[in-house]
This record gives sequence, structure tokens and C-alpha cells, in this order.
Amino acid sequence: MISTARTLGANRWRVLREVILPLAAPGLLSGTLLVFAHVLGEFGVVLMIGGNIPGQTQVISIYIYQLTEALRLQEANQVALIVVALAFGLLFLIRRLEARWKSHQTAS
Amino acid sequence: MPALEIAYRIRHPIQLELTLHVQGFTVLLGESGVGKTTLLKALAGLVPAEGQPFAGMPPEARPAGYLPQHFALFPHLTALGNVEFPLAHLPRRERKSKALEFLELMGIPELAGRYPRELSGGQGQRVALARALAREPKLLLLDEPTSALDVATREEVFGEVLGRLRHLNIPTLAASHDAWLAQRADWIGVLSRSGLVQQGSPPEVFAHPATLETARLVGFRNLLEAKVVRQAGEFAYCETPAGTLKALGRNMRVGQGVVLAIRSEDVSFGGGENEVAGVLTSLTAEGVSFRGRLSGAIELDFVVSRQAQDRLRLQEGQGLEVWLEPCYLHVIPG
Repeated sequence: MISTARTLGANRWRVLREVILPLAAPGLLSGTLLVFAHVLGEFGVVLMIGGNIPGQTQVISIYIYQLTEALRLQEANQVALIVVALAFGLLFLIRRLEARWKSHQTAS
Repeated sequence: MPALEIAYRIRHPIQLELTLHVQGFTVLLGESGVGKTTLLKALAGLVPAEGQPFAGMPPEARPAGYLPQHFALFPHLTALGNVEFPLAHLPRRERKSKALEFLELMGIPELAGRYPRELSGGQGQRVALARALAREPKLLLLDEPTSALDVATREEVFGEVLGRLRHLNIPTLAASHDAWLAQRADWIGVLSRSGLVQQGSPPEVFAHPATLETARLVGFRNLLEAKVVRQAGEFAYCETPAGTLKALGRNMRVGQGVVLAIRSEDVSFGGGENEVAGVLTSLTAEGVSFRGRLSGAIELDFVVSRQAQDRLRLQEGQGLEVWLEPCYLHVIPG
């Protein structure tokens, strides 16, 4: 398809912009969302090198960890619930996007 | 009739050097793997090659319309969007009306809003052709244009496309191994592993295949090894296991090893010259006719029409005489 686009008078830049990127967009988007969901739960690396400055480098997983350490379990549960809902919502969105993309790709 | 001379040399992915005359609708006939697609891609600028025309130009600068085997329509664009793609140099409004013109040229303006996944094979082909034509090419390249179509409907489907293409007067080169398509060509080039072995008009190539490979490609199923014993006018008498057969062939040398070729459809049951006897080893229905196999001193594949079968009442296992009319039996130099 890329080489056919070239024979239709499009240079490399136009092929990238009008053929490759639009066709890769669903994959790129679902990849981005997956990475976002993963980073949301990142714990070890942030704890080691990021420090834990509230409002600057504090992340949700470490916040939950701190609440648990301080035995503020009620609050920890609530925050955890938010994370679960967020993760669920993101995965749902990714699946929806992938399903739509697939139905676009398959020929009738 | 629009014509063009092609002289190309390709080194990679296969070695190929040829000069080919393209005249009207030209079919490049060849078995798979001989480099038909490679030549088309080279002409489109997608495979490095030397030669004329379009030497050294990048693909986007070549005035060639290329239709790949599976059309390569852009799935994220509608039929209209696909045809608009090569018209990007025009302002938006003009682009749309021009694209519609090309869809009309292929007889499918009603499909403008459909996505490729909503098109049948034949419709997709027309959209892809409209898109290739929108470049206003000086040479149209079609890769196996009938292979993605149903055998049952291709005559109707591609026949009409062919009629429309002829009106446009653009020299067209179609790579194919389809003898049906070759019969409808204005000119045929036969490509083999060793290069271009023959080119000529369809009656010429179909009636006088220059090589064994060509004979197979244009549909000869019966190829018999023989030796010339006498040459008389336009006929050569050849020695075969089934006796001496008279066949169409000029200027043959006595003692020369040759191949006698006859189409299955040309084997006759009505008497005449060149009688061959044997046993009918198989007879199978093929559409409305029957295909049979005769085993004797030589093996012959033949076709019996329904009407002939009603008269002859052939049955497997029976003895049978057939006749190979000299005017249908061709001598090919071995």
C-alpha cells in the first residue's frame, strides 16, 4: 500500500502523513493508553529515585503505601478504589478502540 | 492504437533484460516466478532498474498508473477519497469533481461514499483503476487483473472494464498467466525464466507458440515428442509412438526432434487424417462438456461437447479412435 501510494504521486512525507499515520493511529493510541495505565501504578522506581514530595513527585501508589503504613486504612481503601476504577475505565476504553479498529480493518 | 517501446534491465531481485513492444492492451504472459510483477514494479519505479521509458525517475514522478494484484486501496478512505489521493495538487472542490469524473469513467459513481471493505472484488478493482487513471498516466500497469475475480463472473466483470480501458487509448501492460485474458489482448509478450521468448498478436501466439512453455501457457494440454521424417509444403510428417502424424509446421529439418501440440478442444471424433487409437481411461464432467483421457501408444487429453457425448455415448474403459486434424496439430521446435 505504501509503494502504491508512491506510484500515485505522493512523496515519502505525504505517504507517512496520509497513509501510515492514519492507519497506525488506533494502535498508537491504544499503546499510549496502555503505557499511561501502567505508569499510573509505578511504584519501585519512583520510590527509589523520585523521592516523595507531595504535589511534585508524589504518585498515587506511594500515597496508598504511606496511608497504609500510617494505619489510615479507610482512606487507603478509598484511594485504591479510585485507582481500580481508573484502570478499569482505561482498559474498557482501549478494548473499545481496538474492537472498532478491527471492524474497520476486516473486509466485508 | 497507442504504442510504447520498453527496454529494461533489472538486476535485483531477479535478473531480467528485455525489450517489449506495448500496443493497446498488451498482456505479458508467463508462469509465476518469471518476473512479470518485478517488471511492472520496475516500470512503476518501485524496483531499481535501468532503461527506457522513465529511467531514473522516482515513483511519484513517473506518469505510470500501477494497479497491484490486490488493488491496495486505502482502507481509511472512501472510494472517492481513494481517487482523490493522486489529485492532491488540485484545490479541494476541483479535486472532488475530478475524482467523481474518474469514478464515472469506470461506471461506478454510486460507490463514491463506500469504504473498501464494503466493495466486492470487481468493484474494488474499478475503484483502484479509477485511482490509477486519475494520475493521467502514459502507461497503465495491471498486475494479474483477473486473479482476484471469480472465474464464473470474470468474463462479464473484466470484459466491461476492458471495454472502458480501450476507449481511453492508454497503452496498457497487464501481467498474467490467464490465457482467457491473453485472448482478448491486442498484443502478447511471453516471458520465461530465460527472458522474453515470443511477442506477437494473439492469433499468432496462440496458433504458433514458439516454445513448449508458451504452448503450455496458451492452453495446449497435449504435447507429444516426435521426430521429423519429411517436410512437404506447410506440413511436416513426424514420427511418434502412435505412427507418422502430419502436422502444421514449415521449414523443419528431417531428423529434427520436435514437439507436436494440439488443444484438447481440437481432438476430433469424426474421422479424417492422423488416426490415433487407445483406451478411454477417464471421463469426467466439466461444466456442460466432458474431459476425457485416451491411453494408447500416446496419451491424449480431449474435450467432448455435450452434444457429441449424446451421440457417441462414451464410457470409461472402452476402446476409442480419435483424429488429430493436421491443421490443428502444430509443430514446435524441440
